[in-house]
Amino acid sequence: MERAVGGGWAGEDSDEALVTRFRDGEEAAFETLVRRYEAPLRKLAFGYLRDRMLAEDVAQESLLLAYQRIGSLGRVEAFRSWLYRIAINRAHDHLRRRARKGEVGGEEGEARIRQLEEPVDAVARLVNRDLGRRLASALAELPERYRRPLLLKEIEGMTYAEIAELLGWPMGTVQIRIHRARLRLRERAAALFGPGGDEP
Amino acid sequence: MKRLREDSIASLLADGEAPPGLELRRAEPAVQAELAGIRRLSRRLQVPEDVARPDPLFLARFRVRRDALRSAALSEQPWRRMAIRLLPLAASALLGAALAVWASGDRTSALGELEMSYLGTGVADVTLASTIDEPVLRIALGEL
Repeated sequence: MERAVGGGWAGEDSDEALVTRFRDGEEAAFETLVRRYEAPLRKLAFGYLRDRMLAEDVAQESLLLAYQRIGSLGRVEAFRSWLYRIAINRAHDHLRRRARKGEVGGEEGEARIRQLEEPVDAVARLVNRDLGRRLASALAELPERYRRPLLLKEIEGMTYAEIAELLGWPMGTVQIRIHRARLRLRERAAALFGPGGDEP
Repeated sequence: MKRLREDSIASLLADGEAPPGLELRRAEPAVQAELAGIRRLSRRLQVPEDVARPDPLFLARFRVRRDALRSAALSEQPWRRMAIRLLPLAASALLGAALAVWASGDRTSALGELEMSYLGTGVADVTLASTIDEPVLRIALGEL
């Protein structure tokens, strides 16, 4: 497969070509898109929720929604942005639901998986889990207008131009909001992680 | 772009989005400290390696959910189609019935009340004299 500059795919395997083929009835074309986007979507959802199981669920739901509603996608070139927007909205919904329930993040499933992982040392494991929860809580407190561009930058590694296109904001707004998100998170990190809070 | 705030320069540099003129400021101690803070935050935000790795079973799980959705959609299709066709019919039948009740109730209520007051439980208790007093009753019952 030939990967094009800017994170896209070129030729027969481009998103546009696959979407068109899927719309023409080639089921396997959408499965190629599933394979291509499952990890990026799971990563992005994990950035929001800090929970593996929920992240998996968000990735699955987003691709299923895209599968069902591909007919409503106007320009096939916009598939990637459209898909990311679906995933962001799903992740945000989960975050809101969690806030309503009063959870701070890092659910039981996450804790169970962590038990199977390194570090083996129980104390270090507890510290890790606690840090994960605190980070999830700090992220949850961030206004969505700041969280959204920051996670696209930090987790997906998108450029300001790509984020601006995806969110439909001017470049300057993206730049300022990413910067403000960092300032707020660092302040929260200092409060949540104690003295020297933003130290690794 | 508008005039840059001093502290946002580090963000631009950290993201590799700074205009060429700003690169010179990377060496400044204040900018260096800011950059270090941003890098620490970035490290915290990174997702674990296993989350970022493609999962070979993801597609299989997707297929299961997709097929379940498809069969659910197929099984409900005939019902939905029928419901969509019947809905306007049902609505207009309801509307017609409501109109009929309204119209019939309005026209006959006065006569109906009068008849009830004379006929009571259904046993005719009307004399010639009462039809002389009540011409409406005479019309309703015919000439006795």
